[in-house]
Amino acid sequence: MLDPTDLDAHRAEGAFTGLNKALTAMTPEDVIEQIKMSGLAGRGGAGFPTGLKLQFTRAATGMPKYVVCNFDESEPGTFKDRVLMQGDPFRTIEGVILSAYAVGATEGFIFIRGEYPEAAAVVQEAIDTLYDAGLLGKDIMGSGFDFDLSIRRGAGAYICGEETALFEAIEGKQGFPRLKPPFPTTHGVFGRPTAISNVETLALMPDIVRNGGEWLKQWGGGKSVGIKLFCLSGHVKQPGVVEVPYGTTVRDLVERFGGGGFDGAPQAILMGGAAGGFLHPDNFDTPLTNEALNPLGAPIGSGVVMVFNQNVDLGAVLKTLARFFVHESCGKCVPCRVGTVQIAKLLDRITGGDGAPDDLARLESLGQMMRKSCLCGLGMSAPNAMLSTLAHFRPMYDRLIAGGGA
Amino acid sequence: MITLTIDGNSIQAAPGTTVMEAALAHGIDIPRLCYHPELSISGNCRLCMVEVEGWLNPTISCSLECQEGMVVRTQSAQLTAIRREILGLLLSDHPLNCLVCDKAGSCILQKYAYEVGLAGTPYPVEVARPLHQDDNPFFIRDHQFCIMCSRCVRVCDEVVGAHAIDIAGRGFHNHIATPFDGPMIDSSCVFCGSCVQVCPTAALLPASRKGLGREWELDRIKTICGYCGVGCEIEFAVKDGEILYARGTPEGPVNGEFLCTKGRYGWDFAESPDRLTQPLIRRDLAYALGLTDTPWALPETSVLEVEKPNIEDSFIPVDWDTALDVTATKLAETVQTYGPDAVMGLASARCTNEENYLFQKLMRLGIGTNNVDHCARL
Amino acid sequence: MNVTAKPGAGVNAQENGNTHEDGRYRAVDDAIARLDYAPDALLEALNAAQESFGHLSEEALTYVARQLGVPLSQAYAVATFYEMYHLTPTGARHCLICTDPACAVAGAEAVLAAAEQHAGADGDVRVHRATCLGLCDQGPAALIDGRAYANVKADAVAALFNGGGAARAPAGDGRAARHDAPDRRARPDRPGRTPRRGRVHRPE
Repeated sequence: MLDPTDLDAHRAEGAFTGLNKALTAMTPEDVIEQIKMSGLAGRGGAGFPTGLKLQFTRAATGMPKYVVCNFDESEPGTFKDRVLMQGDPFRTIEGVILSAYAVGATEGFIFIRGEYPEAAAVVQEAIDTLYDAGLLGKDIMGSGFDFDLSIRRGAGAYICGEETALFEAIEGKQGFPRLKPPFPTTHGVFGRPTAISNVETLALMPDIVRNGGEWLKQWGGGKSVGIKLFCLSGHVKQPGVVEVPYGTTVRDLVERFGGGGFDGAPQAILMGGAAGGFLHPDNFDTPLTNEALNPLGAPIGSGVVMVFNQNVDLGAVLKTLARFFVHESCGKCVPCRVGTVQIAKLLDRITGGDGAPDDLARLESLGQMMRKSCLCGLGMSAPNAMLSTLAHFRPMYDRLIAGGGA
Repeated sequence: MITLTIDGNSIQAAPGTTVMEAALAHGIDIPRLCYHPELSISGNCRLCMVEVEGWLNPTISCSLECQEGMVVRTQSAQLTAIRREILGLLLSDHPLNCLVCDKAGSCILQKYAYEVGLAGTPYPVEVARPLHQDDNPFFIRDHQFCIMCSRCVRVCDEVVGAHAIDIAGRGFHNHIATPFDGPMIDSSCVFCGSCVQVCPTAALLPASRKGLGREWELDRIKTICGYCGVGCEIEFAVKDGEILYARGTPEGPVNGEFLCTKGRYGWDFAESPDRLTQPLIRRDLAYALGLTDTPWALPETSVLEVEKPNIEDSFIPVDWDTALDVTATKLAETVQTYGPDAVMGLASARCTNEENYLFQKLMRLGIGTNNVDHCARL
Repeated sequence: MNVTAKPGAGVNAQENGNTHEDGRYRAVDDAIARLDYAPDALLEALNAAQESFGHLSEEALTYVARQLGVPLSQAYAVATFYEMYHLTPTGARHCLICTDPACAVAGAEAVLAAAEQHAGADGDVRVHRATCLGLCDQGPAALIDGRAYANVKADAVAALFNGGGAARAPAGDGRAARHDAPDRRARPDRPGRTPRRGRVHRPE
């Protein structure tokens, strides 16, 4: 393994050859074309096509433009971005510079959550190194392209992973998400056109530019093109980050790459983190694609694969997740501010043995309403885990209500 | 112009108009709590959701720009269900004190609960903000009724420019706060009461009305503020001839709903015993004119040095004809004896333009002097 | 560094450009100057103040707000919105214990209880529940004074505050992170390896 901030060692292995190719032999439009061709979609959870995002930002009027790297990795169960950044910050930063070149941005920010002080130190060292090497700042690689990059630190708020809330935080405000439209591509940070991408998305760009758009398409297909980092945790023999092609089955992922597979008979897998849903063992042979997993209420999201064996009290896990959203709701919109609290209260009541069958209907209608009416993705996805258990783990609830609690 | 359909009505709207604005302009009422026509769009109450034909999910109408050919429905079974859910959530965090609430009858939350037939909440009740702040003479902040619509924060920042309050904390227990939750007087508040004006519930209440009357018992009297020449429209809420509070009205052509601290809270002079309500003539002049039998001379001590002078020690009330006759006679004498430039007229910023115009005309043509000035010039 | 024109940048510099006479404000002043006295320096300045003083006092918040031309109500609101800001003195040592589901099934609640017990005995330590520290593969996780710890055992918590007792997270610092790093140049044409902890496995 290379020293994470040893630039020479990384360059010897090909770092910044993609950027060099882009700056010397490609127009910004060429870069966007290759990204579009690759089918790269955002790896942070929402899955918006990255090429289109770059194209819209480039086409937007208004200067200056910005690029933002979303390193506010706060989804419980997600640690891939930290591993990427602490191991090799240059790869992602190369992606940031490529994005900036593609959209015509002159300044960029890496927004790092406050809970990652050590990663922030690594990234800062990498940025300083790159300034010294002429890979950031004025006239990058002698191409005449200028780009400044700096770190902005969060201070503990899950909501700041939401792109518009992240902009608010960069602007020095509370992390309240904004209404969309307008979208970041035209009205991003400081109200300017902004291309914002997740760390993992940006980290794929150098390879795509170097190898051409077709490179990524050798894996996966449909709406799930390429390779994806998954974060194995929970009852897996060997947890960690694994990069596999879309389309690998969930069971394969755990059994082949989890250092010996499940640790104890599995009860459920939490896919996508707190904002995701529980996958029932009956569905473990589902391929890891958005097309297959979304209908099951267990989206890929940011790549969380958190395994729970039969010894785990799933109701307690659900309550933990519900409390998480109570804690992390920014409180701006009514359905999320009060709805998250009521989900937690109802789950407390049900697991405490005071639940009634009506409570399940109430949870269901509350959850569906939140999905439709919340202001941002946090609120819309807050009921997901609960709804997935109502759909696929109904016997648990029936048992709790019939048997008077856990 | 853009043509769209709202609830079956074909409507014309200028580009950039929101569906909410277009609907309201055509008499179509969309439920709304955080929307206020004078403020930026926050979109936090989610009550104003509408359905757009061909769109997968309902969307809020306050931020939805009208598009050509758009077909919008503001009422449907789905929308009613969403609104009932949202109102049910709000009521789980809002004491149902309507029986004793001063705002009952003009509370917007109460209005919508009535409209969807919600007697209470289907959820466990927990009131997030028990804070009760009665720290200034003008308004009471009773946070238990707050629904965090943020109208007060926006009006303070966007209209007033004071930014005395903001949303502190996060999530369920967030609240509207001054710096360090200190008393209002220590903040940058100018006590204009615009926040009280736009509050949809009883969270911000004029202190002067507390417990003195319900909305439907109050008479509404519109007048023009007399404090300065801007001419703001004020509506006084009056019960049994006594003013309980003042507010602006959306129809006010000059000021809309907004007033300054004097206009909104400085009306206690209306019922003050010190208020001048009829013409007065100084006693020595009155004696000279035969209006009183008691002679009188200016006292040795200036009235300015008397702590609480009684005006009737020095003046007697007369009718308007007498007062005007005396004034005209004295002015004419002065002009005849010393010439017109011995007279000077000082007009008031609290008069209207028309009154000030007439006044200078009186000075220039009637008296014959250009000695005319105005307090606002100082 | 060249900072492109942002709203408010520099408008307060001339008026408020003085630095604080108290030397402890140096990091705060640096953060403010680095971002050219623009209002968007608020989080960076508060981060610096929090790190310098262990909490955000009225004096520090007022100073930062004034230097940036930010309304004090907004500065206070921001300080109360974010988890990592504390408005009251918190003691010299900060400890975050992750209680997300992955850490919870690994025994995080016991670790939290042990840490709180330790804090009860040692007034210098303040313990908070964290939602996720990004060490889900190595839970229970803790962040003490800005350093991450993995596989924390309840009975070893007290020792953690003395700098020992538990394995530092492999992701500890830039150098230690090496074996935690993804293999950036792993090519699809290379045979896949059994993924090790925290290692990115790129497929065949």
